[in-house]
Amino acid sequence: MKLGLKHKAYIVLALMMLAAVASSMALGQSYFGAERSRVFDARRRGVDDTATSVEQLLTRGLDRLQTVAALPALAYGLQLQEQAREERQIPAWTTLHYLFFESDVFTGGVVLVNRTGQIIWSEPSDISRLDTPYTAWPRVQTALARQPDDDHAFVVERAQGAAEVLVAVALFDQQQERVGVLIGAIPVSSATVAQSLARGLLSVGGAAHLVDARGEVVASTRPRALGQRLAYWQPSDETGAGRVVTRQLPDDELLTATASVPVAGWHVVTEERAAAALADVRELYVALWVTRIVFTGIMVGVLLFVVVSFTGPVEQLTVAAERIRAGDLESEFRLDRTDELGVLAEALNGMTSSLRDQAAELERTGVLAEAASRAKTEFLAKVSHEIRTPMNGVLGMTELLLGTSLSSTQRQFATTIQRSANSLLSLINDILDFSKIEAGKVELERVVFTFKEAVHDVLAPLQEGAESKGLLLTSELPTDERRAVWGDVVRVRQVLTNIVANAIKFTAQGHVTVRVLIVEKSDAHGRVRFEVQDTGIGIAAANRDRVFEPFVQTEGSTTRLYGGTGLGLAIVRELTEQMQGTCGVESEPGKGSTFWVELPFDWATAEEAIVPDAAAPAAPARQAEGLGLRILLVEDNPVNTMLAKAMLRNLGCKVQNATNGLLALEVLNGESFDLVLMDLQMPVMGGEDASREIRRREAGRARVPVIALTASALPGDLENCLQAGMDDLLTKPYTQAQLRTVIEQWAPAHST
Amino acid sequence: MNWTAATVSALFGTRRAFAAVVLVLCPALAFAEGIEGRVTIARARDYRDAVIYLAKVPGKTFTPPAAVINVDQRNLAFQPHVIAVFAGTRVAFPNSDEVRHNVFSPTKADHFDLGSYPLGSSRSRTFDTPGIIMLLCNVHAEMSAYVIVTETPYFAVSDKDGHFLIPNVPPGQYEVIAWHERAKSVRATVTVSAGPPVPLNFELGK
Repeated sequence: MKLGLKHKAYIVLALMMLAAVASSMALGQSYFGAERSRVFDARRRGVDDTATSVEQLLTRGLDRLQTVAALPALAYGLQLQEQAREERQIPAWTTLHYLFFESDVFTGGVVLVNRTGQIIWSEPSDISRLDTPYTAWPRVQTALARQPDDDHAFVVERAQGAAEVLVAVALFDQQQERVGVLIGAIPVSSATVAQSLARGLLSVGGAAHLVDARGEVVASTRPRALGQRLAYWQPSDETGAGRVVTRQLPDDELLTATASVPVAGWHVVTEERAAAALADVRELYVALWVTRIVFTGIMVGVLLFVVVSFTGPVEQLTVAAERIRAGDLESEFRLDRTDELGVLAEALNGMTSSLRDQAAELERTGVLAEAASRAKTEFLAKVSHEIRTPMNGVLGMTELLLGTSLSSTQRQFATTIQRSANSLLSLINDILDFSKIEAGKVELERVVFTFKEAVHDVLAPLQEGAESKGLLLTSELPTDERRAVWGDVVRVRQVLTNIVANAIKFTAQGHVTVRVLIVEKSDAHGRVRFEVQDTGIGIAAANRDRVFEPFVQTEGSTTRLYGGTGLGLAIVRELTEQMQGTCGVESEPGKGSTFWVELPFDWATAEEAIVPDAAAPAAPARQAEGLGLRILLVEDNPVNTMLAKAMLRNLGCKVQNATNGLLALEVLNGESFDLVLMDLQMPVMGGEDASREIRRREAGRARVPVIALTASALPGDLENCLQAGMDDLLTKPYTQAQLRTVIEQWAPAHST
Repeated sequence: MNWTAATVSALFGTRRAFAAVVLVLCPALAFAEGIEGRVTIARARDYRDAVIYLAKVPGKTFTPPAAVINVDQRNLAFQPHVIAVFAGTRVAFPNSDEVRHNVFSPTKADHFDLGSYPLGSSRSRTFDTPGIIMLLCNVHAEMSAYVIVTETPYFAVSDKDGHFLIPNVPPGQYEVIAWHERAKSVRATVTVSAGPPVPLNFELGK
């Protein structure tokens, strides 16, 4: 799929937006994450600190009591007391007083009880009455029993909101029997527990608890929680260092932090409403989202404006450019902008204007060129016509002249005239041919012929010239020579004639040989190679490629020596190419050249090959003398009239002359003729109109053959003539032999 | 070496001193037999002052050493805190403190009171009755000491790491007792043969 600039811009825009939002969200998330972590960390540190201080307090007290309880003298003292063997104060108790006097740990006092829970000793001495049951004894005993070694325990004793942690350490005698318990009391006020937590750490409504191993709240910043169990928390939930989690309750979300007091298996637990604890974070979150949305909106607006203000004009420009490409150079493109796009639009307009001018100029030039071309063609036609007409007179008259009795000198002169005139005619024909070929006006025919015929037809007229120079002109033909092929025999002959004539011209002595080779052969097609080998002057290697170019002869001196226009080989190449063939030359200067032409052709079938054979006998051979035909010559040019009359008389024909078509019709009204020779271009009524009228009038009657005479040599002439009802065309200038051939072909047989 | 020779001669008397010295001087045979091991005590800070001793060596009688062993009273403490002696050994308790000290035994098996006496004076007592004798000071309850009186001269007191070695125990099968003031005593049976000391470890504690 192809994406337009606008769509690309939108995609880029969308990607930018995504990136912006994503980065903003990532930043926001990390920021909120950090904020959240900060809140959590503060709680974690708070409970950790508290748990550590409680742990230290309990550990210090326990160490102290254990050290003292390990003294054998105390166990011994208890034994003595039990046995009541000593009435007096036991000395060990004095030491106890000394050890625990104003203890910094056990500010709640220290008590020694015997194995039945009777108070034996206390410090300070006024906190309990000696020899009375210790009130907390059942709880202490239970707690000790729970311990694996029942050697120490922590018991919480509460009374009217205040609480004491009793650190109890058992005393053993030498048989490791428990003989008593030493108990130190540490007041645990709410302030003690929440000391570090109450420093503004917890949000409003939050609470800090000290929870014992069984899950009961031992101390709390929330007095009514004392002695209760926490609904959301079990001691088994947590161990180790501080941990902060949110807990989903049915009606609220709590943020709790816990840390353990390992020595007692207790925990410090804080609770607060998550919403309250994270209120600041949430406010930030909302504020950031609002900001993000507002900024995103602004960004989208600005970018959309930019995109539209760029792609709009660009689209208009594109449309305008498309219109110009489609050929609309008239409409102006308006873009009311002063920026680069405006300049671009102006440039486009300027470009369109230039294109408009150029198009007009081109059109004018084209018209002129066409006119010039037409003029050239017309000129050529005219010139050829105008030259051929007098040439007809010159040649015809010369021919006639040679038919009279002349002295040898006169005959030599006349022959020279004839030869010169023939050269001139051939020159004119060359020029005309080349013009036609170059103008692409050559139309190839397709007829059945044989190479033998073609070569014969080429060599026969040239034989005389060759012999006169003392050259041997021969041909070598393949065995397939007799097979008929399809092709344009006229052009093939023209090509061969040009090459052979060229070879004869440039060969002073020796021979010229024409070879025909079938180089490729299949069932339907073939390729023939004509080689014309001479023993002439040859062509230097440097010039070999150029000899086929028009008006080129190998050396300037050649022209002087041999004459010619240099068009012959150019015509060869042009015609060869028209027939899909190739041509070339191999040569050795001084020894001779071999020109070759290769042409494709199609084999003719046996049936097709019959046609020319059948056509041949259609023209009955006649004796040259005494044709005895009545011929109407329609011709306005007096010279041509005189020439034709002379030739026709030579052929033994009676001739009547009419100087235009109208007169010819009148003559035909009164008399009948065996054949009409009709000039095409005449005053009053031309040959074509006259022919049409003749055909109209003779409808249903015998058909008189009409042969057109014309000096024009343009293609389509014959076709026009046939359409006008004429039967054949004889191009001026013509020889007596040509005239005779045509007459013999068309004159009706019965007239003899 | 000299210390060992002296100890041996103190334990076994001069008659055997010569033989003992010969034994000691021959490295291949020295400490060739005995009981060696380690004592661990649950919940104790260190493993010192555990006493490991043979309960009885049947069919043999030993002569108590003539030398007197000192247990000093210094810085309100008996030093050493625990000693083991072969029954019949005499132990002296000199007072090295500024205050008066008293030494008495509340142990029923060997109940005695040496009375209290000042710095520089010393009183002594011969411990004839095998058993764990606890010593206290009437004046200072935090002071205590133990004298483990054994029926054989084969015993050892563990060091800080709990390591002990009872040397030169003749080959045979014996009951070995490990004692510590804060734990119940543990008994074990061990067979001593010629060669390196037999390993024996104890775990004390409830």
